[in-house]
Amino acid sequence: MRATFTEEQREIGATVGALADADRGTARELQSGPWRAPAADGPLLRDFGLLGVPEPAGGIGSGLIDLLVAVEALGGRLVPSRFPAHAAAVQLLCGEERRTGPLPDEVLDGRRVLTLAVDVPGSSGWADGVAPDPLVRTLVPYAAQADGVVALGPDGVWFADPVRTTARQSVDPSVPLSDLTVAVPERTQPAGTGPLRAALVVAAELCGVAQGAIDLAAEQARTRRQFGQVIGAFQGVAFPLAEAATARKAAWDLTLYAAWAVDTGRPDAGIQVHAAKAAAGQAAVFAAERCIQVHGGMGITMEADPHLFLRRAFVLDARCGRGSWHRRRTGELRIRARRAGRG
Amino acid sequence: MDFADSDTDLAFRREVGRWLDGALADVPDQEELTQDEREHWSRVWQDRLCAGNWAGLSWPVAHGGRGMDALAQAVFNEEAAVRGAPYPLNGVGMMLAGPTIIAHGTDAQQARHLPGILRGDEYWCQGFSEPGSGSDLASLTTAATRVDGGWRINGAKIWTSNAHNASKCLLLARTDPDAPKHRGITYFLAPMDGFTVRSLVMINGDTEFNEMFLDDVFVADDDVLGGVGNGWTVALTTLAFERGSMALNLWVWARQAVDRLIDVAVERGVADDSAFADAVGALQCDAEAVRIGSMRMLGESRAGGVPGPETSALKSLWARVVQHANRLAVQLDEAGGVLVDGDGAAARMRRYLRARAHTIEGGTEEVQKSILAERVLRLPRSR
Repeated sequence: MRATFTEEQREIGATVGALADADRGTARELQSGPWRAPAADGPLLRDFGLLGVPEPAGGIGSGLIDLLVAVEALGGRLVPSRFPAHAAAVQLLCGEERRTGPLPDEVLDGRRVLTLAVDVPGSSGWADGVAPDPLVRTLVPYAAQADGVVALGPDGVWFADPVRTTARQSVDPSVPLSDLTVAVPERTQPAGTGPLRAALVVAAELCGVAQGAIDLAAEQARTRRQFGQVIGAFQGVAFPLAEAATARKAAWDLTLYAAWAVDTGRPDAGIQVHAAKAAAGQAAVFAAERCIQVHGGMGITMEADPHLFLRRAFVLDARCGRGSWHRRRTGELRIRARRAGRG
Repeated sequence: MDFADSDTDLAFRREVGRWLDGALADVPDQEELTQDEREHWSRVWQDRLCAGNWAGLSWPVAHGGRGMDALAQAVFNEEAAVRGAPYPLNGVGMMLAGPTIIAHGTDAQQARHLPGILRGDEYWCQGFSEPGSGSDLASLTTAATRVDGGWRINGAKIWTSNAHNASKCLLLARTDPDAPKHRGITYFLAPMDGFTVRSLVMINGDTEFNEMFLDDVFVADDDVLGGVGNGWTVALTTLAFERGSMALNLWVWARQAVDRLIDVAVERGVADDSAFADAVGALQCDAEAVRIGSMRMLGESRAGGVPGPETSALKSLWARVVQHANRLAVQLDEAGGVLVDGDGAAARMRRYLRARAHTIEGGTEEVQKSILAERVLRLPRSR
């Protein structure tokens, strides 16, 4: 049926959601101390690595939306797993199907965990717009915990050889971030839609974060009582949450459609992905901020959970091109298309 | 999840598109016309729809329709909107009165009213809202009292589009003042003899809608639709048809508002400003979200589901896009929109002022947010 989830997609969401539920507390635990793999990390990398991988790259016919449904479920519970970054790195390699060839088995079955190096320091967009390539990348997640790095540069994508790794202090300690200096690539492969695919994985996780923050905020609004009633009965509390739900729905719809556009090779795939990434980042940050507000005084303490959503939202909004950059690209492409259409 | 049209849908769209292209060939761009001219074309357009056998598109064949589903009507309206077609002057008859009468009417009522709508000589208006009952529609106080053979009705209705062209009214009135507010309402198919219709001037100068005063208006028992006291249920049917028929128009109007904004910016030489690109980027996200959300809603409906409260999110997004785009377009004018003696500037201001209605008509922004809060977020009633 048109524009509805398939039975398989519903099942993926439920299965990954159940895995993620077991890790609900891990993002909090990993706010201090070294990163440790959450319980879901291994099973996700082992059993879900073929989601969204095109057949020429070694996939079994699963579409990009399948993967996004899984990642969204993880985002909602803030699971600090390497899986989304690994999956985004895999997608980065899948942008030019005819020339990619099958990916190594150990990548697809999760024995070799990848991460992605896309963002260039001092630039708000991703690395294909920066020439000459400074060969430095920032915001690289799980650099110390991954077995391989997929980098994006002006000439394409490649398995990068890190020359120097500098751990940075992440605003969300459950997602370690590093700066990476990489060697000059011996050869690269064309990126094709790889960056778009990777950005959608991030957008899906952001949609999950937004949903998680909204759920937590709504729960608080349904139970916290002041002035003799639950605070959700006040429109000043309820309406911003309705706005957050609207923004989250918009972002998720944009993300799903963009994935379809990429998978079916539509010419508007680019603008759709930029719109999705921009909207998802904004929705997640807005929802997390509202979640803090609804929690009142507790919302501004470390011991309550709302700030965890805000931290994750920020990290992901910045990954694979900042939301503000994607928004501007969306506008530029829209204006260009309108001008061209008017002759 | 597949967003592509099915072959059947595509074939229908092509058929509709071919007919629309021919029928619209001599119709001017409605945006450039005065209200009188637009109303003229709305009447012409209504006649063409009737002559082309499109008026009963989603009505059963037994009632003279084409027997297609309600979504076909939405697709037709979408294709018409994409081409900037006039609004058909009897849209209320075709898309609200007809389907409601088919759903709730007696054989005699169907025989009495449906042919006139298909022929295009029985125009309808919707007498729901009252001066004291806007968002809280069920609090309406227009009173119907029992008299021999029917009801005597007294009260006032407001925001009635097209009342000045209509001869029949979908009228809600309170027949039992002692019953709980949703129970005491009855739905009438009222002839408008005896209605006093007074035009209201909108803030942009248009006179789309009216006040109606009913002083001892007689409506016969035969014109009660769906039974005495069942008016609320019948009214919900009408409102569902209203939402359904417009379901695929919102995104079109949102996109057109952004198109016009970009055209103005190009004209004024600011289309390359990065701040303008930022603004268009944000508008594009919301406008596309309306389009995609509408497709998902359509998909859910086809799969047998009922469109959920998420439709309130789409309405909300649509209103924001159109309002924001129209405001920016006005502000790009040389004098910030305050000098309206040029044709372009006047039209932009007219559209901007008209768009202020979008967060009020068809369920206010506050009502949409309440629906989301209660039904999506499961918060308690806040009104």
